[in-house]
Amino acid sequence: MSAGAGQLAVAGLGIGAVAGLSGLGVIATYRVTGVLNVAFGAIGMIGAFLLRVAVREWGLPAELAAALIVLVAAPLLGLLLDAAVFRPLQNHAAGVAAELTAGFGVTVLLVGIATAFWGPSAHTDVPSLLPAGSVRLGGLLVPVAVLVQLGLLAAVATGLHLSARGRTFGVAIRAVVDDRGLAELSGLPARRLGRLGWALGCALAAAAGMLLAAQLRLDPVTFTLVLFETLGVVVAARLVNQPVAIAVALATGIAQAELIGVQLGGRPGEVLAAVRSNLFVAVLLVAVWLAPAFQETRERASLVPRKGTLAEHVGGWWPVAALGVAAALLRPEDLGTAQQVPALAIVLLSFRALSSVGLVSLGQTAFAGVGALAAAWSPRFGLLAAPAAGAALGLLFALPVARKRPLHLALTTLALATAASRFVFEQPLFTPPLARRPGFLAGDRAFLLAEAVALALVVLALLPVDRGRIGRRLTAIRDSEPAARMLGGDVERVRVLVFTVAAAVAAFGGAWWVYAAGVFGASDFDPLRGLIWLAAATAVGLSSAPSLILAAAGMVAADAAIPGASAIIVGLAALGVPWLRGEPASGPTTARTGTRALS
Amino acid sequence: MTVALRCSDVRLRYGGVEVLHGVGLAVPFGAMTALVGPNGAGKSTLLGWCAGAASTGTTAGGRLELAPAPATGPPARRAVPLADATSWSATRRAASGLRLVPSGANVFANLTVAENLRVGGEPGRDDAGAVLDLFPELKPHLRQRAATLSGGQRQLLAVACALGGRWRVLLVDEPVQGIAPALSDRVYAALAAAVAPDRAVLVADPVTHRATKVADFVWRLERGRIVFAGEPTEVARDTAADHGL
Repeated sequence: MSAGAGQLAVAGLGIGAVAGLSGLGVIATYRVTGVLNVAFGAIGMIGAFLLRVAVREWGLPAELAAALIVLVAAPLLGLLLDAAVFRPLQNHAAGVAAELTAGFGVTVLLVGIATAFWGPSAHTDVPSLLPAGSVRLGGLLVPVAVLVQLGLLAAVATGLHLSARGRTFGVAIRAVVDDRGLAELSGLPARRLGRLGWALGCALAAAAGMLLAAQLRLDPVTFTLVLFETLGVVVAARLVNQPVAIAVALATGIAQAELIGVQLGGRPGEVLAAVRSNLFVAVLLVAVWLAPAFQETRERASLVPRKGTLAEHVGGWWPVAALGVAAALLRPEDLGTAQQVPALAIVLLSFRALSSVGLVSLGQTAFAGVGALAAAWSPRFGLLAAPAAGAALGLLFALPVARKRPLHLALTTLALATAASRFVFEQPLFTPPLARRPGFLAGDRAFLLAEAVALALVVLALLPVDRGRIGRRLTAIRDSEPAARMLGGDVERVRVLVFTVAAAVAAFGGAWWVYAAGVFGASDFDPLRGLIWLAAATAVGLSSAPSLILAAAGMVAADAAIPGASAIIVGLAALGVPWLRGEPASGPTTARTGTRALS
Repeated sequence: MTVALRCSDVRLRYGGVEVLHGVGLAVPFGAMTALVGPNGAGKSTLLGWCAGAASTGTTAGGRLELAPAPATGPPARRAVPLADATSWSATRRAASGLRLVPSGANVFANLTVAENLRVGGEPGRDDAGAVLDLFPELKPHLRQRAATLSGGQRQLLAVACALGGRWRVLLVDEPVQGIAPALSDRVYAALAAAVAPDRAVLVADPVTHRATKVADFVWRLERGRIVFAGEPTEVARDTAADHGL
């Protein structure tokens, strides 16, 4: 390795150590609670803002402020999250979707709080907690800051490792990880360990945020997403393996720094720059594909839609009819907003298909975005090309992970959405300047009417997911995969098929969306928006087409009144709506303590 | 006899179906009590409710009372009122000495046999030796993961873990499920031997004669209702009468 490459590697170790710290925090929480804390990015952001305020505005010494945040504020936040959000969810044996959307709700809430208190703009004056200066080691100039970061990472990793190996405490932790329900029945302090996991996870997230903030611009949204993208190291570690998380974090940090030394011109240079700045996203994508099955520390309920009656389906056509009436009556200036409703409703209906077999997707934006791109590039055949492109992408991604558990599949879709956003949607190379509608849809009223018809067709096409023979087969798979296999069902093939259909539906919605907007906007298909869509669909219980259409109408109306309002409303709903708190599922997919058969 | 555990008016619904219809029973210290009844009667559900293993998809009502932990001396000699434990979590119930060995999935599969025996034991005290003397079949497997044991060995380990742990009231659901008949008698004998003036055991078993051989008192549960309470000899007569014998 040349001296230049070595020097770059040293620089990368610092970022890698911070990613490792945040990864250890997520693992610490997951191991004892079974909850993947997707809010760690926002918690790190809050930690960084608190440090800035404590030092710059209150005049506290940086070291004292950092100690107070890591040892007091962050653990208290962790205890609050456990008591107010995640413990109640666990008591209801909530499914993956409810837990992940609750984590998203926490993220939205914390980002909202940070924006309200400290504004949306970026700050560059977060004090550094790390010493200046360098030492020469083996011919390389190594910043003391990097040594401190590595030392911190090693100390935390060693502490966690030793605590998990202890004869009493360590066995207790492993017992709780293995079977929380049995651990409680055995008198082990599972809840206390859970609280400890949340406190520790939040403390480490805050520490990572404070260390990273001095090297970046600190704002509520972007900083949260940057920290969030380090989730790949946790996924690569199968959510539990600390040494692997540390190794992947350090290797990614080094690789990211080394790419700075590679210079390319033109388009390849642009691609390289995108890869370099989003390397942790690439790691996330590769990790979810290659990682073996996660060790899930407890059984979860499947996402069970509340079944709508046939009358509800038939009698619930009025939202579709209302859209048709709106096409005739709305003022011309309101038609643009109204056109977003059917497009979004079609995307939300794709969750209906997924939930029929207990699947959760955090990345419907990827399929919607690909559909939008296909439609934008091909104005004449866009409405056919979009679902075809979505189905092809869905099939491609579902095949390798069809056998994986719902959490794994959910993270795969999140990785796909993040990668698609960063590597495709945000790249001018792939996005057309304008999205022209097909000629027969040029008029706004005709377009809205056509959208209503398309929506009606999708509703009709999805009716069989909970009716008749197909509905019974899908329900059997959702309720018990082993039992469905015993009855001769090809579970994997059906799941892939449903995932593909849902991807096609989302892409179809994306096509209508981009035709309504007239231009492809990368932010319309940001992965965060996919989480909002899932939360909204879950909040209305996935019960019926009308409720999903109304959810879409509500979100569009909220954003039309106050831009960004739908995210806050849905985020709060993700925390507070009672039926989101793990609607009890029936049958053997319920929590472990619920599987005890009558005897 | 002093009551160790008492539940009353336990009603439990799975969805819209009520499976326990106001069940009540008591378990005394210093005795082995049996809860018998056919499969589907609600025995596991009742034991799970007592231990605080609240099932999802269920709504429950009822009252659970436990003998408070003794300050000094055996509780049998102390006339102290029972504590209302209805609202206690599973962990708190277990900490107060109520221990449930569920039927199936009752060991930590990814822990070794030795680690399973250590879980739930007295801090600083290792009862594994005494338990292994009762069930020497487990000795060769101490360093083996519980997941690799046979079904019968896992059941044996679950009973051994419970006997070696901290408990005052032990609820065992189908203690000999999957265990070879020759070993079943030893398991029941070990459970009966564990009874003490400050300890109570309740076993649930669908095979009436197996449980009543060693039990001091029997409750019979059918279709979510207690239909009989009495001595083991009486339950045999009662069952025979039911069958027109």
